[in-house]
Amino acid sequence: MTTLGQRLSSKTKAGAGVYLRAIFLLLAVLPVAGGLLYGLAYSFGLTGALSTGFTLQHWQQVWSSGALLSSLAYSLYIGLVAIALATAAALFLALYFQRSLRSGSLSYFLYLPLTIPAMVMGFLVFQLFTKSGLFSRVVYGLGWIDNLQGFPSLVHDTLGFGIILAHVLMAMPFLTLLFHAIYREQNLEQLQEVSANLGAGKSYFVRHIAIPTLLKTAAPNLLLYFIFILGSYEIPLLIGSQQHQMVSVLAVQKFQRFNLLDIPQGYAISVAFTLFVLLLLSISFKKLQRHA
Amino acid sequence: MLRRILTAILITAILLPFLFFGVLSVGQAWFYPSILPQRFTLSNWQELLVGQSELQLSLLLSLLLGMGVAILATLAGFVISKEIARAKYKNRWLLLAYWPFVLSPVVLAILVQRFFLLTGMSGEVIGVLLGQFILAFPFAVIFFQSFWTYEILQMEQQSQTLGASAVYTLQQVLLPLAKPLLLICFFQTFLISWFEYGLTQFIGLGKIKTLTILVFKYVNEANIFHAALASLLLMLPPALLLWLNKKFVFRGI
Repeated sequence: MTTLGQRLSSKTKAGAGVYLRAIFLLLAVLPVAGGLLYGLAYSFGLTGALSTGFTLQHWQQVWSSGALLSSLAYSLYIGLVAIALATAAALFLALYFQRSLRSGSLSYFLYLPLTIPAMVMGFLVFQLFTKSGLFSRVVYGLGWIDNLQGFPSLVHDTLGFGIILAHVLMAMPFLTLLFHAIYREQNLEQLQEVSANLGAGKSYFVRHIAIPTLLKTAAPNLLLYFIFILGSYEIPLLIGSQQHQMVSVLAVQKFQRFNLLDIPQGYAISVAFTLFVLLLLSISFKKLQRHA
Repeated sequence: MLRRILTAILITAILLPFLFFGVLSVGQAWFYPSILPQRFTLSNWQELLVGQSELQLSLLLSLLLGMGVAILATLAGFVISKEIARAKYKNRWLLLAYWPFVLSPVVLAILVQRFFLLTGMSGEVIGVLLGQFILAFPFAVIFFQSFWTYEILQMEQQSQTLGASAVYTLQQVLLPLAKPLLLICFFQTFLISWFEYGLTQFIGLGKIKTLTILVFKYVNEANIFHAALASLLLMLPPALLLWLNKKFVFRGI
């Protein structure tokens, strides 16, 4: 190829690159950024059916009602408890069933729960744990309760037991497979042999080498899963309580009411949640990179 | 011994949703405190085979949407991820790709719904397809970063230095190397669409009845037998694919 040809080729490549990056911005960034700006404008009264010019009224209403803060706190509580329980259970499974996960029956079966979507998991937990659900019937059959009222409220409850359980059941198989993959990639089996040769017991290896390595390597995935739970919609919609709402449910509810004045509040909640998630993501990733 | 008992309990728990929904999908009445439904029938399943039933149409629509989203996201993700991988500030670009991916789909739907209303795509299949694509595309871009390694980019350059055209390099070098990842990405973006509810409900205005929308509708109507059948239809195709391709599809998550 001649020098001129090479120049032309590199220019064409550079030109195509600009277009491709523009397409990326258009498809991945613009929807969020544009939506965020529109949501901000709507929540400040700058646009929309009942727009009257710039106002902080909708933000003040959201703030003073305490709905946003309480739903954010409730979402954080659900997210933290669910991810902590799922991580603990997954660590146990990944470490206790090493062989079975590598080549035994679990190496096949543990993939099956990954095919259950959130909506179906919510429905499943409802049908299993509601007062008239399968477990209530089994307990009744065993003679432990006299009627269905004797079964505890595990769904639509204020503590969010049902929501947490559904998320733990969804996260556990994924995290187990993730920890198992990290265990192999980090050659922890060989490290265990080395630590045993040096006189460390199995529990010492698990507590001081295996668990810290698995948690540190999986930290970005755990963070992303936590954020996924924070914004979950289907599960709290199906089995959440009326008193406490997760952020996504609260935001959508504002849009589904017939009062047009609720819509700017819905936008304010969505914008606030988006900014919160983006902030959490940037801070956490910076910290994770620093520790890596 | 304890390990075997625990494994058996775990496998039973894993299979429970499939068995439970399987039994409910052929049930007709399930009064407390019976463990099993009072009557069994295949009529719910027969609805699937009868033309134009709600379930059948919903299954086809979900399949079409899933395939459409998967094809578009995989192709666009493959092409554009290369540009991102070569970018000077690669990590910054990737952080941008995480934006729509980490947001709750329903919150994203709230934020972008004005665009869909203005373009008349709200309540239309094309609108839902585009909405789901906005979720699946950044995933594909992030996913293919593991493919565009220094070695692959060097190999591409070497092929072109030896006189191969860009198309030839793509066909004979890059695509054969990327084939396994392309299939995995196709499968996973298909699942993003297949499992999606919040965004589909919000942008589709409830008119685009995918299987997840039907599950919620049946649950709301307290029609647990149809809800169980729709749930099974959601779970079985990916479960079968996973079973067949386990080693291939989820190799090194």
